[in-house]
Amino acid sequence: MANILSVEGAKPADATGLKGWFARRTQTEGGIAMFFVGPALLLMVLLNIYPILHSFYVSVHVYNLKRPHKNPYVGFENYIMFLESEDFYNAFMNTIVFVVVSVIAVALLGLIFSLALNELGSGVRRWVVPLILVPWAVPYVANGLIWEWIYHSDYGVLNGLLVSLGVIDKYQTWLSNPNRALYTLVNAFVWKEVPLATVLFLTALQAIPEDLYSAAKVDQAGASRRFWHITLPALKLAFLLVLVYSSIISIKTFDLVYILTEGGPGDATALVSWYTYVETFRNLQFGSGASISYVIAIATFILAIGYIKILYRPQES
Amino acid sequence: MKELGLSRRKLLRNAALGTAALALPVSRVTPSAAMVKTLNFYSWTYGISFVKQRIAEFEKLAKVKINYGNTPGSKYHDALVVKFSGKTPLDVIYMIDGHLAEFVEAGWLYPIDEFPRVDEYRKEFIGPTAEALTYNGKLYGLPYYVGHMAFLYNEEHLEKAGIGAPPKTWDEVVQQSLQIKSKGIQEYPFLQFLKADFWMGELLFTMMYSRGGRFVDEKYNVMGYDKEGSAAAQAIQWIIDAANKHKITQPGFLELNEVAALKAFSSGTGSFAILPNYRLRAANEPKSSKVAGKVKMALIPTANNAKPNVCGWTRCYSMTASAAKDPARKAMSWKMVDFLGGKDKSGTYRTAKKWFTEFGLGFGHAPLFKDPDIIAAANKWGEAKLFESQMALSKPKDGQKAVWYAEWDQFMRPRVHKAILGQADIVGTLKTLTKQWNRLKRRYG
Repeated sequence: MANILSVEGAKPADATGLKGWFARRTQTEGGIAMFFVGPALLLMVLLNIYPILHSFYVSVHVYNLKRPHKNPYVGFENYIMFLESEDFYNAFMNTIVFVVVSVIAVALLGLIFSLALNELGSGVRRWVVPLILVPWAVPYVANGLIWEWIYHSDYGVLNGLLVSLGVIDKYQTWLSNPNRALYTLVNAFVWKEVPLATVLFLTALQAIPEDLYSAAKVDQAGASRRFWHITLPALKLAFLLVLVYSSIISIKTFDLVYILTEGGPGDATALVSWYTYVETFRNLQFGSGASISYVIAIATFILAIGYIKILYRPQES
Repeated sequence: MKELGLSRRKLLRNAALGTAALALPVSRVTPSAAMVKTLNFYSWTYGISFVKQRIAEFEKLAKVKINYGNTPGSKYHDALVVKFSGKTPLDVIYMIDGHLAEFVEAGWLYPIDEFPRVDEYRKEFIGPTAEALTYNGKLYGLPYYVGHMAFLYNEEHLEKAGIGAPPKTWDEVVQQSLQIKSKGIQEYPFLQFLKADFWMGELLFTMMYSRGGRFVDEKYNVMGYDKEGSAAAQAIQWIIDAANKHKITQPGFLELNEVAALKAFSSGTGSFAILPNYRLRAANEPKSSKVAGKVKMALIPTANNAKPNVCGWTRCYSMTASAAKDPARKAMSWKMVDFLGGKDKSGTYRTAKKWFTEFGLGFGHAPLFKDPDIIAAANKWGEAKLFESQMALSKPKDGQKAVWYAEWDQFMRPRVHKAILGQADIVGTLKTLTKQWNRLKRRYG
């Protein structure tokens, strides 16, 4: 490919000075790409890479704001300390439960709703899809406040509804019951994240050629066989997206805990993100806070790679 | 005049400056302060319209623009940490006495001892105020308000149940609650709030103090806190029994925060409640309370023949260390601290007085107890003498001046919850808390 900046007959490579250097650099496709991508890359380095590296630096030092002038290098001591901590272990286990239940629920409900929507006529769907996206568009803090009102043990809507339907005979405590509290958070999370999953699945469903179903019907394949052999394989990429997205979002869920429970009752809803927050902004231990953030980031990355390895086949894309 | 080394021009100029200084005794304009065009002020969200009114007055007086921001009280500590660590410009802020140590150690606050009239103000601070605002011998603010936990009761409920006087002991609280419950007046007469947030410490310390307990001494040595039958253990046991055995506490109390508790009490839920004293004003406000005029305050019930001590606190207007780096900004910041926390030109603590008469917020200045407007306002929704008595019996949280206190407090919350939920043994929990205190003391000491 010719240099887009070259002039016919000129010999840019022979030119000297800045002009020559520039011309030589843009001789190749890679050079041109770098020319255009470079500024954005530089910004990314400044805004993302530098903080990542700096936070790693912080994580291997004592960085306690109550002792701001004592920042000795401690290697991986911060990492060892929190990995040995009982509170972290508890938060880690809570997070696993929260993530597993949330991701499964988001994926399943998203799939069910998208299959139902796919059966609707396109006119109706055009109206319904934007409406079901409303919960997803609600900011996380507002979502927390909404659910605080719903779950409240004295005046919550949920209790009122369940009592009026005769499901329960008296008001229940949802957020201060240690056996339920984590699942009430899961429910609030799922309510917010299912709409996006539904739309992603729906998009994939609509991309499946109708001919495949017609051919399957000719071959006398029943509804379930058509679902297992045509629909589900065609949704692999959508599944990948939903799983990666909802896993990442659920691992870093913080707002719901902050608004609804502050990790309580006891430590029943203390997630790793909450533990990190407390360590950093309440205990002012930025060093160990950074080390926990690192571990969460790496765990999330590994999980995403795992999903991709299992679900993604380039030829299927 | 020449002989005196004073020209007519100089005399006129000095006279003008003198007049200006007299006209603005709260501001004491310094040439450098006048160079500051904007000041950054941050508070928690309370009485915002009044705060904005005072800001507007100050802007006019000092010819400065105030950039004002606020955040809910329960999130205030964390919001400040984020702002300070992110180097957000802050000059004057609300400060909580319990967070003073860590904020000073973090290098975020500037002491105000060097400024004029501070000594005069200090002499007029009531009981614990000066101590609460002092760290390592330096004063870090002028009082915004002084408060304490207070025992409130719904007089109408007690009358209906045939109870002549509010309870004086914690046993009487149970008895009276059961009486109210048995007459069907309230299913859960004792309105408890114990969400694992900022107020949890204040409430638990109150329940411990009123049983004669202490947590640590002045040298931060734990004082029998974790022993079998200690006041702390009794307090937790009482909370458990109130909920599970007597069923006088509403089931969701572990998720109820202070604001929600006030709303519930103001709507007629509960006959007894422990709330910050200034909430008495709100609970008797006809515009926002269904039980206005019926809510009274009593001295906190006690046990073990202890004095009716409660947990108290002081909030103040502080100057940040970053403001103090620039002499002009420092001068202007002090002007604002003085304007809000000091006296006006008539010699009145104007802001503090208004906070009490309009909002019920307690004050940290002794002369205000004798102010007729204050007495009249206090008697409108309570008894001025009772306020003074309970205030005199309030004590700050033991150990709150330790730089590690907030860290311990955070550690304490889920563990006490677990003890209340029966997931952990009470004395075992107190031993864990003691161990953590000592561990932090060794680390920071």
